[in-house]
Amino acid sequence: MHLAGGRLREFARGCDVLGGGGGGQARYALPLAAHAVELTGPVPVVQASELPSDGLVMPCSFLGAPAIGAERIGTCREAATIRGHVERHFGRPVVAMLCNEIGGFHGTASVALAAHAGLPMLDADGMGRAFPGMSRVSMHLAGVSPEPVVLADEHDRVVAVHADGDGWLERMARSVVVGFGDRGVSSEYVMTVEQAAGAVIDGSIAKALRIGELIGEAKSVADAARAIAAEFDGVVIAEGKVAAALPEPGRPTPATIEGTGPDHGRTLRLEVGHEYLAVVEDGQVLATVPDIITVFDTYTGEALGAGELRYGHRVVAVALPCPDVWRTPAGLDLVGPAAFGLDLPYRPVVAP
Amino acid sequence: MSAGTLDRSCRLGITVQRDRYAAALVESDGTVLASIERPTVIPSITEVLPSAVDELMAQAGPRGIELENIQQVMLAVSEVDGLAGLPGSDRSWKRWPGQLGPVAVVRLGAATTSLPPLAGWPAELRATVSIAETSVAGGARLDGGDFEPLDTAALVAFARSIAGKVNAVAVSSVFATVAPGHELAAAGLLRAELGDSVPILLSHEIGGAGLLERENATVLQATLIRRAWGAAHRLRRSLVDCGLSHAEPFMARNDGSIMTVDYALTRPLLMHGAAAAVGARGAALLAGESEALVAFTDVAGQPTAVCSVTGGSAQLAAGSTIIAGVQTGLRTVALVATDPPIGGTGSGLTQLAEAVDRAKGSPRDLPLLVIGPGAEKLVDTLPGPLPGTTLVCCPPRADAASAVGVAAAPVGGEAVRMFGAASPHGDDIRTRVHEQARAAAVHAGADPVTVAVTDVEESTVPHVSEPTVLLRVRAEGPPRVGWRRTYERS
Repeated sequence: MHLAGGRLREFARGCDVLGGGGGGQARYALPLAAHAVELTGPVPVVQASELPSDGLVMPCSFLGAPAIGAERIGTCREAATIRGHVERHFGRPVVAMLCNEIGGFHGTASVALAAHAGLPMLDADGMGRAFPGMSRVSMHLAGVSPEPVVLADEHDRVVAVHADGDGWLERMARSVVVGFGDRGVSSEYVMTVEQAAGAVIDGSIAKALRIGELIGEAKSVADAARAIAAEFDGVVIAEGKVAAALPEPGRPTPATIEGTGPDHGRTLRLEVGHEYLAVVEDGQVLATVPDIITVFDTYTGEALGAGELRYGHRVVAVALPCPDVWRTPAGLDLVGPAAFGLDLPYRPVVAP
Repeated sequence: MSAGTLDRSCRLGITVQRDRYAAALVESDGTVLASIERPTVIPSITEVLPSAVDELMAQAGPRGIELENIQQVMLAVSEVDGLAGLPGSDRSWKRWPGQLGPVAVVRLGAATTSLPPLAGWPAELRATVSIAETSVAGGARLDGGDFEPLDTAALVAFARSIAGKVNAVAVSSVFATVAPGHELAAAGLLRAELGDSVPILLSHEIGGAGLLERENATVLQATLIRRAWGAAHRLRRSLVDCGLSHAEPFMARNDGSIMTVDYALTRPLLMHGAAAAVGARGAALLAGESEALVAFTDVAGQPTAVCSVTGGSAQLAAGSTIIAGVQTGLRTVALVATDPPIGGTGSGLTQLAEAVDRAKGSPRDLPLLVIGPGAEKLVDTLPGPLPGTTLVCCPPRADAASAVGVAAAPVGGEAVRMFGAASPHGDDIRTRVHEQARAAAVHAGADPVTVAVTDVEESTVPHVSEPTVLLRVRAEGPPRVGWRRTYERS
């Protein structure tokens, strides 16, 4: 499997769906990925079984403020700089890059980083969706050490942070990013291929690609939603229109979706934070984080970001099950409804 | 001419949209003296101007209006890519003749290679317009310090390599909107090498957040500059031919305000989407409703799109605008087309009602103002009230609403600045940005005496560690008067 050309567009569509309203828009990173692939050739997507078990897997992603990243677009060579540092530190080669967050912008951006670092991408990621913060990754639950955090800016300035415990690591890493001017690239949770088995979420790249393919094949947006739900054990929640939405960045705010067409007469409450957090109907929870709630605009076909939701949007809402790791007690502690300030029970999405 | 007739100064508005045009004569107190709406074989302002003037004067003449009373001529077009003859654009436009480009592109900011200048452009357009691109060290950081020290040697070497080969140069720079110093210094160096006859366009004057979108807009402007000059020359000549050499010409812009032709020369992209913006303004004026929805119609009486109006102006879309396949930071009217959803069906009234609801932005019912050549026909065919609206009306002279809107439009100017929320100079900066907005409006042709700040938006830039303020100030004023004719046909 390779990522290049038209497949990149499909991949980006899939990343936006898996973002569940969060993670920024994958389509904004598409030009970066397309240019990188033009320079270096298609990026291979590999399975762990194809890699030497003692080789290193390097997660890598952009970090900082989007407003800064829009001006300081960087070189993507930061990933190559970090790779060199990681290889010197561990004394062995990096054999694949890992996308930290498949959902949204970082999904597509990781293709550009992998291309510039000269690495294939492992068919996996650290979230299976999008979450705010850098510790909400499956590697954290699996006990992989995040240390060292290696950070680089576009002028090849590199800082490696070594510290015990997440609190200090994140605190130090944050101050490095401030020093960079709120924009950089970082890597943490570097692990061996052997360690990665069971610590990462398998098949994420293929899943995003397949979702993009299904969208491309569908005649209408509702058809695409049904096809995705059918193939990935999810449910189509409803077709409707957004009857009230007042997004407040960073704070859960409710939006209302009034059913239309076959769902006429239904009223859904959608809890919106950095991503879509829950759907409730008549006091019944239909879906909550960490399951993936995606809202499609039926006029554009785009998966709407949580900050883009406005009165009058015609939508189809879909819920897809999250990776199993988030449904464990430890997983729900980290990313369950309570972790996002919701007083709702977790009710796993089950295919009908 | 008696003092009495001088008092009756009025403005001529003309809008051209593909195969039709509208024209109106509006008195300075807002009274509409005459209006027409007609088909045209060739969409071009110079093409329709003579007959528009004849017809309007025939209507207004009996009301005591002479050509001498027309102090300004305001013009609007629906899209600029067709006029400009950009590759892939609609061929029905009578495009500005002459060369597209060639331009050279300079980016100040070497460590931005993840997407070099023009990397995402359609290949045909890129090959047509640009002969060389370079990224050299330079640019600023958010705090105003250097992103990289400006590489003057590389700039001079590049300038020498393009000397004599380009019609314009587009210069953009990292965080030019925060600190434009490197762009200004680069312009000086380039001018010294290339001479004064090669225009050098700077991205901070074009504006917009995001290096790539600002750079793209700057390059497109540079590409069009020669053609725009030619078009402006022909426009002035045709005004002279129509007996309007004393009237200053203005062009409508994306946000529904206007700018002088001199100002538009280096910013032709700003004309994009203006016809819709002034149409919404005209509808609101004619109906006396400042909060409303506006439906545009075609000559068959079919609705084509709906937009919403607040405070008498069309609401602009949040996102960027793609022109000739290139993403630009230009903001245009948030038009909701009456097309059915992807793969869906639906037409006529159902689709209009849905477009109305999608354009509203809130559940509140609003009046729907129907304008354009088929406005009366559409309103006549409505069987009853339309869901989501308080009333549906076809304001007087609805067919020529866009021409009335452009004739009555103010001149606008904007200034944007990012600065640290903790800055001890915060109030000084605010005062200066207010002054810059007024200066921008005056530069675009507003009357310097009455220009005033009309809108101030202050927000926090999210996710930045040092609390940072984004301040956007808008000023508006009526178009200047007393413009002296500098242009006579010999």
